[in-house]
Amino acid sequence: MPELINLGEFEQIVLLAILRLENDAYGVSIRNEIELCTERKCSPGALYTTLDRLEKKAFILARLGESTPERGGRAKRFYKLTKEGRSAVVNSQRQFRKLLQGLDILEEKYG
Amino acid sequence: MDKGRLAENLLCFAFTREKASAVVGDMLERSTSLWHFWTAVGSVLFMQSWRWGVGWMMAWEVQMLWFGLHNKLWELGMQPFICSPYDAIGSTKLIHFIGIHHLDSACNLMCGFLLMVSCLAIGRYGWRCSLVKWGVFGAVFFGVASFVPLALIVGKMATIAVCLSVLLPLLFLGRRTSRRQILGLTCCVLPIIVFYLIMLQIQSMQSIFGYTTQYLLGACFLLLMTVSILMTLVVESQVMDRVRTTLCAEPE
Repeated sequence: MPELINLGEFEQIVLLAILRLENDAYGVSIRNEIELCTERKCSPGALYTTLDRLEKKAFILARLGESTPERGGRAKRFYKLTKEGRSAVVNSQRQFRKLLQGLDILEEKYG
Repeated sequence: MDKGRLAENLLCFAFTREKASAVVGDMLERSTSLWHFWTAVGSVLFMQSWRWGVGWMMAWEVQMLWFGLHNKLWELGMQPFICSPYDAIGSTKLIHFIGIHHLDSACNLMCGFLLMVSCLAIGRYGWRCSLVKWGVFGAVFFGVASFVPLALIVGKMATIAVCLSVLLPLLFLGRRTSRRQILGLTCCVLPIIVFYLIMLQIQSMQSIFGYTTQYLLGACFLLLMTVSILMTLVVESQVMDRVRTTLCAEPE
């Protein structure tokens, strides 16, 4: 069996948010997307540390974008998934899907 | 110097100049108040700092505070309920059979070790990692165990047994561990063990050599700690890149 790279929970969330945002994935939009979809607070410390780590693992690639006045003239740093990143996130989701097979828990109502 | 420039310079200790600039840009774009801006900068620096070994140094400090707390409670007349601060750091004046007199120091050692593991896990996996929760839980557990007087040996042994049986498998089997992490752990754990051995010796040698020996051993400990921190920095080789980036950054 080929060795699969396991992603942490937050790493998966960040990668999925980047995928969802397509060409508009930079710090602010990623953070907004995570907070919107997961309904949980995302600390900037956790986000930038994770982005840094994912970049080092070559799961994401960064490119510099345009700068705007509200950013103090600083360029945005846009992220996109690499082939390895996409493969890692797909593998993680496949694992989840396998585990969910035959379970109806997503249909159940709690609370 | 405006707040953006200052924050960017600070963040250069954590990221390359280009990355720091983008992070500050993001914060300026999103933050509405000065408070939010600086808490965001602090949060990024704090999270990244765990990865440089600063977190380990903080864990050392927590250990020292632990001893201090023992000492304070002892002074406040809690003698019947807790072991003495000297027992907590490994005094040999109490029970001398089957090595039981080392239990207090063993508890403290485990407490410190688990704190370090937690710090590493925070840097590697973030706050929500289960290893952090178990690490902190274990550290508190062992910390409590170290407070139990040796007279209540059964309670102490039971606490330790529970801690070991629950925590060790979680620590060593629950997560993948890279060679770098193992080396990092060794770097920080070895000096602690040496420190405890030294502290044990201080207790027995003080009457013979007096305070000079104590000071010399203290200096040895400081040296060991410095070596430990340096080794940590080498282990986290990215720090060297960051230092280089910061030093080579263009002047304002």
